[in-house]
Amino acid sequence: MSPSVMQRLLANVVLLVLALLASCGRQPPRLQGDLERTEPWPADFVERFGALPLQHEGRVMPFSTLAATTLYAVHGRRDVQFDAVPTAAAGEIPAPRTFKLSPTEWLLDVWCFPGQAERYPLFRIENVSVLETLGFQHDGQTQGFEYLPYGQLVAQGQKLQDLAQAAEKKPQAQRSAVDEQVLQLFRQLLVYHRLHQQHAALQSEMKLDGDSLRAVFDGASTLRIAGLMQKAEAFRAYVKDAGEKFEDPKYGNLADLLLFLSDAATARSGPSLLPPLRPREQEDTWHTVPEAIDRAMRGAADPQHAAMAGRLQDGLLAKDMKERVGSLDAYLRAVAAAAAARGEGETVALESYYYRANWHFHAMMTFVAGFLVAVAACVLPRSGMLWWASMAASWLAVGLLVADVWIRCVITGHPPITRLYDTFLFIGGVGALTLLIAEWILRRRVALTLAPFCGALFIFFARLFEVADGQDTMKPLQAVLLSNFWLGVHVPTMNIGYAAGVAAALVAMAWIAVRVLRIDHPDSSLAKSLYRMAYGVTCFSLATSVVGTILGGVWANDSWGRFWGWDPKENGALLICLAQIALLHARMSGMVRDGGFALWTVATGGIVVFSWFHTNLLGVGLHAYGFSSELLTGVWVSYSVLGLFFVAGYTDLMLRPKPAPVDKVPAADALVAGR
Amino acid sequence: MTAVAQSPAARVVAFLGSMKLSVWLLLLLAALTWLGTLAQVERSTYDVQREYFESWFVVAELPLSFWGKALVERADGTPWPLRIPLPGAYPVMALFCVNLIVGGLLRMKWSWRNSGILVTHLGIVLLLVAGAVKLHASYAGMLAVYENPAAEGQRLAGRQYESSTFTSFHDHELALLVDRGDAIEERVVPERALWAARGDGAVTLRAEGLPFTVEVRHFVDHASVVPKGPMVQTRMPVVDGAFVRAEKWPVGVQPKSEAEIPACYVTVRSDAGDRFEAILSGDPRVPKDRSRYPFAFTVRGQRYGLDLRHVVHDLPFAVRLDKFQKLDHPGTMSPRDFRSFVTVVDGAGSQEAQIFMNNPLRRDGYVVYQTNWGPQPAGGPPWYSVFEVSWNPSDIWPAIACIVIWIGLFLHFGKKLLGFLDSSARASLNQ
Amino acid sequence: MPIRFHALATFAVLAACSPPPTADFGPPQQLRKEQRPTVWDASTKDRLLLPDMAPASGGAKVWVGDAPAGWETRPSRQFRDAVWAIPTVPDAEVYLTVGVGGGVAGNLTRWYTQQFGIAEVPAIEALQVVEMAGKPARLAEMKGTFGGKPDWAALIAFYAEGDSVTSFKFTGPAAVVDGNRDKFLALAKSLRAASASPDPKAPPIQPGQPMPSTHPDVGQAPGATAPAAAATGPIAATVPDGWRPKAGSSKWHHHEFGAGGEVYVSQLGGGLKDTLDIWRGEMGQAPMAADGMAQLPRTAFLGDGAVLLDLAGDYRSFSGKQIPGARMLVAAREDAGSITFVKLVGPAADVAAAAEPFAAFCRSARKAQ
Repeated sequence: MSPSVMQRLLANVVLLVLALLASCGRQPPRLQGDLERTEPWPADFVERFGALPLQHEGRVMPFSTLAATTLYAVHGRRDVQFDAVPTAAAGEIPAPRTFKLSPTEWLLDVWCFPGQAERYPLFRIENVSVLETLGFQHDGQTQGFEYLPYGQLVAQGQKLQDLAQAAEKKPQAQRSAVDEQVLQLFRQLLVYHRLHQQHAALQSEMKLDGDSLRAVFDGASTLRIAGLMQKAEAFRAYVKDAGEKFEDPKYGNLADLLLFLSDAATARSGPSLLPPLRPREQEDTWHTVPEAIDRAMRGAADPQHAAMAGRLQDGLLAKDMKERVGSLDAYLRAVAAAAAARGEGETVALESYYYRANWHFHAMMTFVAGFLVAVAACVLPRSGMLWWASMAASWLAVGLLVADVWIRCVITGHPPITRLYDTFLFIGGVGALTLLIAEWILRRRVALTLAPFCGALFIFFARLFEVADGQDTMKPLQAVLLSNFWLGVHVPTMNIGYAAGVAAALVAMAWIAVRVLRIDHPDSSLAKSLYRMAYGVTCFSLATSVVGTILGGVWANDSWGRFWGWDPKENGALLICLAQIALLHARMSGMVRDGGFALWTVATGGIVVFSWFHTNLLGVGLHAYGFSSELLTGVWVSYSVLGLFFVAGYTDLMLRPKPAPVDKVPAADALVAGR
Repeated sequence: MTAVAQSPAARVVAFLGSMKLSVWLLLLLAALTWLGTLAQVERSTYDVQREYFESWFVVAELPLSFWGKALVERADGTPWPLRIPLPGAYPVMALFCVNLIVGGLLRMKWSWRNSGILVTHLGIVLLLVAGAVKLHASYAGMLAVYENPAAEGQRLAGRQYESSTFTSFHDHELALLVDRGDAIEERVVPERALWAARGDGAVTLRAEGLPFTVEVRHFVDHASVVPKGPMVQTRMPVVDGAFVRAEKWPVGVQPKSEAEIPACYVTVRSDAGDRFEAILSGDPRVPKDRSRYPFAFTVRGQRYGLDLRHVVHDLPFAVRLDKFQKLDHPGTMSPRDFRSFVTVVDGAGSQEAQIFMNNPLRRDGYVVYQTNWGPQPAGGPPWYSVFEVSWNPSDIWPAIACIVIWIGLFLHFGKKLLGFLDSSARASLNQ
Repeated sequence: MPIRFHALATFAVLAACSPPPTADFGPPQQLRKEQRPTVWDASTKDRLLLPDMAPASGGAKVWVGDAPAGWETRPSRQFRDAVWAIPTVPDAEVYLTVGVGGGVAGNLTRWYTQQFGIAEVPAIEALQVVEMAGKPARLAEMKGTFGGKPDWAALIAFYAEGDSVTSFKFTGPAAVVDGNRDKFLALAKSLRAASASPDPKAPPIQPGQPMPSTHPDVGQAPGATAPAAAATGPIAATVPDGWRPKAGSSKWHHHEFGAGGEVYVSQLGGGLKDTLDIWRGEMGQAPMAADGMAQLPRTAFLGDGAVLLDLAGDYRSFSGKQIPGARMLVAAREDAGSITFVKLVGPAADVAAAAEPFAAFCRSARKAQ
């Protein structure tokens, strides 16, 4: 192997990384004016409150998960970053301060400081013409995007809604980039709007006029909704007494109060925060605060809910941070205790920890380290220590990833793969593992490099997907998929097949690169090893794909009464099997040799991408459970990369037919009778 | 491979068993699978299955698009397709099965070394045979029943609460019913025979001893029967103030063949010279209405009925729905579980059972699956439950094949890996 | 091999003629009646699940009943197919509603729970059986607050046909309803459908009726001064002798002649060729070739350049009318996307006699002032 080639490659990789880093280090957007919240949230409180159980989209999850998934959906990033420019006296130059908020801190701000939160630069406008369409000024030199705060965007809400409705009416194919962005912006605005409105009833106090009305509330002149819920019985009696004369001045401002209450009790959106008193078997749905208000006014409230809402409201309306933290902590304890009594939320603390610990991120960084060491090991072929160091790093990363996936299993109570997101982590891990084993068997350092590359790449994809998708990655499953036996048997088997198919394609791409760049010229021993490796990994992939595919059919036969329905996802899996079986037979019958084998394996990699993602994007069939345009772009990028390698390899094979002797296939000759 | 045998028969056998043939057949099947997958963007899965995978020949369409954009657009904005004539998957798989048996089982050396491959090939043959048996000998359909009210009096007259028949999802038939008082004599013609009556064609139906013939015209696969208002223009004949209107799926909606309702015109001509005309519609009414409404006519004092309907299969038992239960994930509309509590009644007695997702009821060779529920999306009560009933002699063969194949592959690749780890080949490749 | 050759030749000839294909019914299978629940005597509407269908011919059905002493018959309107009133009690309402969907259960819930706020809806078996329009019906009785009016009551006699419920209602102050119960039941029993003549849901334009104010002015054709003249629409023309005005038609200049021949003027949207092809279809003829339009003879109708269609064959109209051995004459022209035409069809002998008057009629046609 020629060190100079490897060194040049290394230099290019470093340059690429530097360019990527440089592109990330942009100036954060600015926020003008003073902030209401003058001190940061205490770190330990953020951690505690992140584990607040609540019920959202069919499951009990921690506050931090709600915050993160909402932020991904609205903001398209994992944090909120901005430079706050305080109002300065004349002549002074204001000193901007950079803020970086975690999702939990951001959602706490939305709850407790709605006025501040609605000024955060949140909604990403990628297309400047959208700003113009909505009638905003812009400085004309934006870097292609700008962030709008909710406060400004909601002022154009009606216009945005009209535009979105017009865009919605167009067929998908005829929508322009502006239409797509308008639709997305409108959806994001709705999500934030619900969040913003959710605590409207709790975020203010009501004035009480009239002695008789005040007497109901022990003579208080102001009233919080929680106080009203606590006095619900007396208040109901008072309202009944007033009857149709509630506007009579002798009942004070009862009319205003009733109007406010009817508004507060009918806003039904947002997560359910209050666990019911009755056991889970009798009532599985938690109550939202408006529901609790509504029930209290009808005399059917859970008694504990008034107290819970009271603590929450105390937290929202507190004067200083200490009081706020105290009240919210009390609210957290009450809800956690009530949830625990129902046998819910046991995994909420673990989930909150899971997202905080971010093990797959550490796994990704460890893979990157292992990759860099492996590249060094290629450059310095005689150093056994580097080989061991890279091997150790990659195994550690795989271990971290396994731990990460295992925690997910504990939280969801299901086998490793339930949603598209999980497949990234799983396939990245299994792909890396396969290549590490291959390297263990054939120590040529190439798989040593490819393994951490594969692992890091797919974790990176997983993180991109998580943000782009903007949905809870542990969402409950639909009824047909709720079979842990089949989820545990068919899905992982199939995905091991995908992972090995990806690994084989990577090895084949390495073979093409080695040949095209003449890295092992003239003895071509490296290429020979890679060919053996691609063959071995393909065999492994084939075995798991075939078994996985048939298992899928057996499951379908048990669920729907048909073994095979020619559904796109089924066809995708079948395509992988067919391509690989054909490849092995073509190799055995001498129709292809090492070059053809490598090209065919790269093409099979394309089929894996088709089966894994593209079939979901066709929008048909029983397996169509995910869609996003980012994903479609990813699919076409993958096709293009594979296509480039294919064309490069093909051209090279045409221009320079194999000079070296054909690789001998030791076992194949004996397979055919008569030979 | 050198051809040792000289006789033409031996050469044919050698060709049939050759590995090159397997490779080409596999590639052909892969191409069909891929094109058949893409075709499902615009066509119903059922139609594609019929056309690509169960046919002898197909003109496959490859929509020319790149990066999600059409290279050449048709008028409706969909990509212009390349038309490729190919053999259907059916002959390809049949030939592949022969190729596998000849080359992969019979002509292969039966040795310990090849044992893994032989076992795997055996498993694949079993799988292909299971597929063929399923295609030719099995049938399936749906059985929809309403929740049976506790009190007899709460039953509504027409509704189906218990059923011992199930009807095909996709296939129709034209049934001739002869009213014999307490009994019904039934003769059927499969939908296939009526296809000649599409467009301007006509099919005449007859039978030995029948005093009349039935002429079928204007058979439309996806139709609705509508009254002819004064401002409506149509080329279709108008009978009793109504006519058959062909329906189309809107652009962008994947067609669902099970939701299509066929219709046709019939003319009955008796040998006495009487003539009756009517429109027939294949609208399934179950479970709201369990009765069929044939077009009735009387010839020589005998009442007959003509009914265009989904193919009907009779079960040796009846299924009654005692209770339907649907549970959602809390706070959402997405179902976590839906299950039916049923009583199965036959001559011998009755038996209670629960049918839910991934838990079908197997009885007398039939398998009853939970497949749907209604009314959707509002829900009940009154609920009704939709079951899929399937009769498939090869029901568990794929599961057996799966185990066989797994054993074979494990054996083969395991042996190869161990052999390789032991071999000098590895040593020579390691630097 | 002469036999084989003949067989092949025969086959080839047969294939070329391609007689309509035939198929055989499968073997008979004997089934118990319960195995195939069958409704033998359903109406076409029920059998084909047709939405409310306009009657194929003749007038709409009118519901009549024998008004009891002191009650008055009032004109029907939408959703009230027959209406009676008690002049002394203006709040009381008596009316018949034919064929409302929703089934018995849905309608009972509507009446009891939604209209009267009664949560307990009785089972249909618990209701009294009465006779209504010659059919057995049930009688629902409710008392309570109706539309904000306390001490109100309702008597509803109803029967169901499938999901469709026909109901005869009597609502009013409880005392009035109680007091007139027998009269109401007698009226329910006397209800019957009668064929309407003249059609009360008549087409908008009829001779002798005032035009809607939005309608364009109608000129008087010189020959159409007879009291029973056909409507002329915006076309004025001289009607030949022997054409008899057809009453009750919405078409212009709708006349009959000979034995079963008819002629009328009308306008349609759409393409001229498509329309002509539809008429060709009525005469059992295939659509014209693409250049067929150019080959058609021209005639004068509202100016030069109208095409003349002259077809012979068996006539079968889309509304079911059949004339064997018929002939059809059509003069049609297309102006700005709308087709104006005169269509004459009848037995061939009658049409031969009417051909000359037809041409004269076309020539005389002009836009009305």
